[in-house]
Amino acid sequence: MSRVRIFLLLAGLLVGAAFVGLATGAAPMGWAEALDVLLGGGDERQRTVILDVRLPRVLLALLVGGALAVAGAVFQALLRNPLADPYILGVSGGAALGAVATMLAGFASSHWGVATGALAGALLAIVLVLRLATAAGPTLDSRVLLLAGVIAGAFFNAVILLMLTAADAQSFRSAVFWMMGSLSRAGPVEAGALALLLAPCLIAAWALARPLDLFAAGEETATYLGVPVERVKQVGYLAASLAVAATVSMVGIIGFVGLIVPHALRMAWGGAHRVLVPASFLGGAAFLVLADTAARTAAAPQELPTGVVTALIGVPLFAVLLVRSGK
Amino acid sequence: MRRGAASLAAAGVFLASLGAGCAPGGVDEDAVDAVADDLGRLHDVARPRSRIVSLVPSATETLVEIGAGDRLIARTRYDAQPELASLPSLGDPLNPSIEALVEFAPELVVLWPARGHGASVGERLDALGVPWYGALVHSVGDFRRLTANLGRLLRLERAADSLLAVVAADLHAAADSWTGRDPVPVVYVVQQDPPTTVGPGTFVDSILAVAGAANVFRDVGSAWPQVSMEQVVWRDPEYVIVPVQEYGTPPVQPSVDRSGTLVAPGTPDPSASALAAAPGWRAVPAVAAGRVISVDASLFGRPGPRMGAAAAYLAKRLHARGEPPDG
Repeated sequence: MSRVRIFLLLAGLLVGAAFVGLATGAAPMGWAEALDVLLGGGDERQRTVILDVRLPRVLLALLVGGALAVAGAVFQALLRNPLADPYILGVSGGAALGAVATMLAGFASSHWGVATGALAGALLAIVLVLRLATAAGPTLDSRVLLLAGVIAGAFFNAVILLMLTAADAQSFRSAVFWMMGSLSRAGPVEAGALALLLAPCLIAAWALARPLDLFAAGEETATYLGVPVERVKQVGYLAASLAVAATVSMVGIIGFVGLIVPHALRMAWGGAHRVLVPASFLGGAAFLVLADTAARTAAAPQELPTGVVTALIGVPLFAVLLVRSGK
Repeated sequence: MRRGAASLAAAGVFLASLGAGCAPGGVDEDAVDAVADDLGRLHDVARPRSRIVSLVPSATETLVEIGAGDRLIARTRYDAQPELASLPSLGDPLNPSIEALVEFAPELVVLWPARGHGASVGERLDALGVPWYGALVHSVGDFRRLTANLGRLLRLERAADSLLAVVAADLHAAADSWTGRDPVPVVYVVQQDPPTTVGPGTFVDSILAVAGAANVFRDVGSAWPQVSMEQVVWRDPEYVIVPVQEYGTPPVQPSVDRSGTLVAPGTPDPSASALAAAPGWRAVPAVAAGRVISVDASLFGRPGPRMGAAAAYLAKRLHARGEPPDG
C-alpha cells in the first residue's frame, strides 16, 4: 500500500473514531442527536454534554494516544528494544513523584498545580537520566540509557511509596487514582496546552524518520552511512521524552498504547519510519479515542479506568497480530 | 417526581430502623454475661476496662460522648477533637504502630477488623494477648449496636441509652425540618478526579435522604461508584456537595451544633472554587451557578454521635425557608 493510502486509511479511521467518541457516552443520546448538536442544534443540556464534556475529552484522548504511540515508536528504534514503551526511561516515575509531592504539599485540589508539579518531576527525570547515561561514557550508549532510566524509575517509585506511607487517606487515594491515569481531567484549555507542548516534539520525531531507519542496521553502520548518531539519539530521546512528559502531566499514566500501536503498524506496513511515525500518531490517536469511549460507556453510568481498557482491548488485538505475523 | 418519592421512602426506612431493637443475632449473651462484637467474638462484661484505645474514629466519638473519654490512652491521626489532642497518636487506624499500642497496655482495643499489611491488626494483638473488640460500623444500625455494647462493656449503659435517644431525636428533627418540601437533587463528591460519588446503601446516602437530599446516583449498583462526568452533567443535580477533609489541622469546614446551626463558619472553603476551575466539573450547571455546599467530611463519613448534626446542617442549607443559602 502506498504511503498516501496508508495515511488516508488511518486518517479516515481517526475521523470515524472521533465521531463515535463524540456520539456515544453515558448520557442517553442517539447519534442523530449528537450530529444535530455538532451542526449547531440541540438543547442546552445536550450541547453542554457533547461540546463541554465529550469534545475536550476526545481531543485529549486523540493527542495523548497519538503522542504516546509516536514516543513508543521512537524509543523502540533508538533503544533497538521491542519492549520499549514511552514510560521505560523513568519519565512517568518522575511525573508521578512531582504530582504526588504537589498533592501532599496541599495542592491536591488544584488541577493546574498538580499538572505543573508532574511536568516539573518529568523534566527532572529526563535531565537526571540523560546526565546519568552520559556520565557513564563518552557517548550516549543506548544500553546505559535504558539502565539509567530503569534505575531512576525504581528510585522514584521508592520515594513515592515512602511519601504515601505518611499520607492521610484522602491524599493517598488522590495519588493512587492520579497514577492510574484518567482522561476525565479534560477541558478545552488542557487540550490546547497539550497540543502546543506536543507539536514541536512530534515534528522533531518525524524529522528523524530517515536516520531512525538507518539505526535498525546498528549504530556503527548508521555512522558509516553518514548519520550524526549522537545528535540523533539526543534529539530523539529529548523529543520523545518531552512528549511523554506533557501527556503524563495532563492525564497520568495510560499504558499499552505506546507499546502496542507501533508494533501493530510495523507488522502491517513495515518499519520505515517515514510511514511509521505519522501512522503511529494517527493509529494511536484513533485507538485511544475508541478505548476511552469504551471506558466511558461499557459500564455506564460507572466509568472504567482508561488504562485498563487499553490493555483489555490492546493485548488480545496484539496477540492476534502476533500469531498472524508468525504464519 | 420519581426521584423525590424514592428518597422519601429511603428516609422513611432509615428512620424506621432507628426505632427497631438492636439485638445482635445468634449469641445467647445473658447466659455468660458477655457481649458479642461484630465478628461474633464474646467479651466478658465483668472484666475491668479502664485503659482503652479506639482505632475507629466514630467509636472514639461515641466513647467520648458516653463519658469514657478519660479512659482513652491513645488516639489515631484522624481523632482531631481538642479534648484528645494531648493523647499520643498511634498513626493510621488500619495500620497502627503495634509496638506502641502494646506498650500502652490497653485493656480494650476497639478496631476495624480489616486486613492491613500481612496479618490483620486483630491477629497480631491476639498473639500478644491484647483484648480487642471488632467493630464494623457502616450504618445507623451498626452505630446503635456498637453504642449499646460499649455501654455494657464499660458499665455506662445509661449514658449509652441516652446518647442513642439523643441521636434518634436529632435525626427525626432533621427529617421533620423539611416536611412539605420536595427532596433536592444532589450529587455527593467523594472524589473529584476521577468523579466518584456514593451509591445506595451507604451511610452517606442515608444521611442525604434524612436531610431531604435526593442522591441523583441512587440507581447505581455499587457503594462508591466512579461515574462518568457527562452523567453528572446529564443528571443535573441542583446542588453539589463536597466533603472537606482537614484532619489534624485547624478545620476549614464550617462546624455545626446538634441542631445543625452553624457555630463557626470556618475559613473560606477552597472546594467550591477548585470545582469551578476543574475541567469537567465546571460544565455542571450547579457548579457554574455556584450551588456548591461544602460539608465536614468527618460528619458525613462517620456513623457516629454527630450524624444528626450532619443531616440537620445539610437540611438547613438545602431547604432554608425564604433565606438564600449561605456561602
